[in-house]
Amino acid sequence: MSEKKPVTEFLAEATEIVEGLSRELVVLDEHRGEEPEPDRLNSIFRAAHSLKGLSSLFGHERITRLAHVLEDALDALRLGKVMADDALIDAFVDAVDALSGLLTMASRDESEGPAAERAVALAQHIESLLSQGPTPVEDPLKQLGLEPSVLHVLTEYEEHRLRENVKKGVTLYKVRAVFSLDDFDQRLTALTAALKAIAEVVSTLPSAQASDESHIGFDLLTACKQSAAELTRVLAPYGASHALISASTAPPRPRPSAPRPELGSSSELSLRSLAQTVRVDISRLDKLMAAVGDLLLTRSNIKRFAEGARAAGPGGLHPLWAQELAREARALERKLDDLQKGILEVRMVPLGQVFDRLARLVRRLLRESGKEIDFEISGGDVELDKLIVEDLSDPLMHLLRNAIDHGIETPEQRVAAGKSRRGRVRLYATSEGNHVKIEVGDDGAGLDEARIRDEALKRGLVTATKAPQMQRRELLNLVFLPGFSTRKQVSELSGRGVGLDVVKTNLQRLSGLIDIVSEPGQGTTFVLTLPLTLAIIRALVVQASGHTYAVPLNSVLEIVAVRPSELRTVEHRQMLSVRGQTVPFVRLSQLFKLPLVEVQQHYVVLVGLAQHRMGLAVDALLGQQDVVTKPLSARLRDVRGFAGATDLGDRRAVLVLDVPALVSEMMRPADAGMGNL
Amino acid sequence: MPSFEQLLEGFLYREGEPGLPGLQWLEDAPVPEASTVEAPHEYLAFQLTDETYAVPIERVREIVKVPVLTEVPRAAPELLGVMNLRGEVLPVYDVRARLLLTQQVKPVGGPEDVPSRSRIVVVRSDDGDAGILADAVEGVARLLPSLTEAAPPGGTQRPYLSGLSRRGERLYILLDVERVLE
Amino acid sequence: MQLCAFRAGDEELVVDIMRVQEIIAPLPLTAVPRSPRAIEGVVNLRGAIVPVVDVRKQLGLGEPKQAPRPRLIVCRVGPHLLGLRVDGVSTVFRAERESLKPAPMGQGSSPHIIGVCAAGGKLRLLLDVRALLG
Repeated sequence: MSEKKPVTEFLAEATEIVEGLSRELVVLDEHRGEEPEPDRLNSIFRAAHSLKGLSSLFGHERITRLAHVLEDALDALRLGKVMADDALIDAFVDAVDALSGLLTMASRDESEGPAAERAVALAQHIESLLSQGPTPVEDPLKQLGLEPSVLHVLTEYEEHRLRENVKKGVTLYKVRAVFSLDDFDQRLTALTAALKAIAEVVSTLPSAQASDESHIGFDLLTACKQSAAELTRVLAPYGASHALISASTAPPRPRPSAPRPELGSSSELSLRSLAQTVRVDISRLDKLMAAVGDLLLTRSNIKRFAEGARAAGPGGLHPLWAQELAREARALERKLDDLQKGILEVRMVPLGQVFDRLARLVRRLLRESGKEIDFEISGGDVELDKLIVEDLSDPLMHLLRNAIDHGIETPEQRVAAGKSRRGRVRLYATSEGNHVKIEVGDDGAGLDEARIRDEALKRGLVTATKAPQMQRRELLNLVFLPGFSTRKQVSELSGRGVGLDVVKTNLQRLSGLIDIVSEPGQGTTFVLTLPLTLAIIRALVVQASGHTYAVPLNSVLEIVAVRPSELRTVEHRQMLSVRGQTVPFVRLSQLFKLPLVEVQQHYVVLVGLAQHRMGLAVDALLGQQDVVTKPLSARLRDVRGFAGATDLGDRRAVLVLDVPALVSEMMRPADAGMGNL
Repeated sequence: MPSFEQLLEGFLYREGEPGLPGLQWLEDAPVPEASTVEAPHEYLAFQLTDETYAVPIERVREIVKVPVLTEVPRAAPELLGVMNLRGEVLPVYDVRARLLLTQQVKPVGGPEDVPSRSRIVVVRSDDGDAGILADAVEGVARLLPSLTEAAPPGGTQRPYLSGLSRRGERLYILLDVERVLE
Repeated sequence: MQLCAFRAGDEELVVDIMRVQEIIAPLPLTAVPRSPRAIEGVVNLRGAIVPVVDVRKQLGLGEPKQAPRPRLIVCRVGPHLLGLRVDGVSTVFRAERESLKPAPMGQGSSPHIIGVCAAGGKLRLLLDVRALLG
């Protein structure tokens, strides 16, 4: 899709840049009168440059213009063409202020206001400050005796830095380093970092002397206030040498006038300024996550070992060592947690990404429907795993379309029912611990129970004896059955070849739940509950007939202990009553055809899939653990009921249950026979 | 005299550029002969009951001692379970029943259920790598293609075999990995 | 663009890296009757027949002073492959289009050389692979 990046993303990115600018300027402001640090000026310059690029991409001309002026001013400043005097710094502070104002306007979709006028005036003001002319300097560069081919390839900024250092009497060196082609990039980066600790690296130039085919040489023009001995010490690990640059020593060898390679400060600058974010293929993050999962195992092994060492007492490890080991194991654990959290955070994107797209679509639908509807949206800042967010767009669109087309009545009907003419459609998201709840609601007529019952009877989805006994909740859930449609509610959707069953299937794939809340005359709300991520999951470790299984906790609603006598049988199926709701009960051992063990009480794991609930009984609960699910072999694709396998730390494979598959298996009428214990 | 720009056109590679008339003869040129000395193919030989089976060595990923196996409920009986091979989950099969070497598959939960010489031969396969339980591993056999024949007709194991080969007095039954794991 | 630099005799030459399919150690040559004169023979590259041109011989260059490290640069020429036998592969580097210049006139230049690349402080000759058989 060639769709433009949604405006919220622009705002988020731009706000971040402006905040950064503001932080840097505060420091600049505090150090008035001193010469600004080159690194700080560079970083402000980059920020202005990025902002310029970003805003022009999104067509925010005023921001672009102000950022552009700011960029020019900073460029002039870092090149020594103007002084960082009070007037200029004041103007910078005002400009950042004005930029925030412009962003606020952009977020409200306003195009005129005082902030806009101020921005224009400020841009002119800064320009006039700049035009007051450069400070003339005699060129100390010439005294250096650098050969013309070197001078030729230096950027204006690099020349300026050389000049400044000469002016200040800092000694300039040419550092020569030769690296193997295999790892020169890392080695050069490391060398540059080491040098930066004691010196300023003005320019990195590739050396013409290819000593041989597998090596590459670099000359780093370096300004160093420390002694030559110190420089030698820093260079030693890199096998690099240095030579003094001064008027007297004209370097003997000709320099290349080659185009600069993609290394060194000036190209790095342009790269950084445009890319504040990195795009990463989600599969790479999956790999990282799998690596973390393996590390988690190593961690638990180390932990066990540490505990063992402590418990061993005298005769075992020295107690101090055992203590040390335990402490390090704890530190490792904390760091791993951070790492895991970090990777999870990287995968998280705001729901706004999909909400914005939906909002545009809803506005179009509203125009077409001819109904009077207010559309409310909130919770766009709630974050979810990227993969989940992508897959949400279709189901949500479906539900919204449903609400607009069928949920909300015509204005006349509403007035006749004593409601306001204008209807309301809501799209809300809220974060609830490990889950995110998304609601799509309308204040329309609500689902028509009688109509659903008739339709279900007509289609043979329920029997004539059962239909009248069904509770409202059960009846409402019928709308998720494939092919179900009532003339009133979903006929047009069915006409498009899709129905609520597709919504349900999509959600199941994301381990999500869907519920309907609907009151006649009050409206209908679909409540979607989604796990935060699918990459690493917290699992409940259970035992059935002596086998260990992991149950993804995001499918677990609650756990209850039940004595066999508390179970009831309805139509040959065992049922369990949990807070007034009757749910099917099945023992995992029974489902897996394992030999049944007699138990005093069942631990019932209540699991949910879309609108279904089921009680899965196990013999014992062993605990909870974070697991990375590894896929089962493609050879086992016909074996249903397992999402994969994991390692709980003992190097065995433990099967992870595919709760959605097990629930739908249980819900299939064909399997209704397996009720008896 | 063509311009430099035109000359550069030919210098730079372009997808779909025309061929050269000077190379048309390639189409009917004979492919140079490879060496005529017959190279043996390498196989891993292993025992299933008292017969020796062999699979091409490039099919074999590794050979491991029998680890703890996790039973997969509701799977075919040939699937002994899954094993955790350094973080990878691989299915392990007992193919003896399929080859009619035994009546039925005996469940294996771990090393204690098999003789000490038993090994898992981990094979590469298009449908996902898998382990095959072998009663013992003999080693690498170098078999000549000219001494390899098709499996004898009529045998019920036939669909799972890719042929028979000999080396001296020894007979090797060549196993078709893809088929036997199907 | 990226160029692959190699040596033939004492000359440094370059070809467009997009042309280069792979660089391999020389394989045994098989002479083929009725093939163009520039073709030294063919090699069997994983079942494909690849004709080979000796660049030094074709350009009339002398023996290299530096010890040769012979390589076969397998180039794409239209739908075919053509192997260039060279005395060593030096480097692969990026070059600006501006660094490519026409060959200086009047040096009895070979028709296979269409210009020079002046990047990286060196002058390297642009070898027109397509003209090698012409």
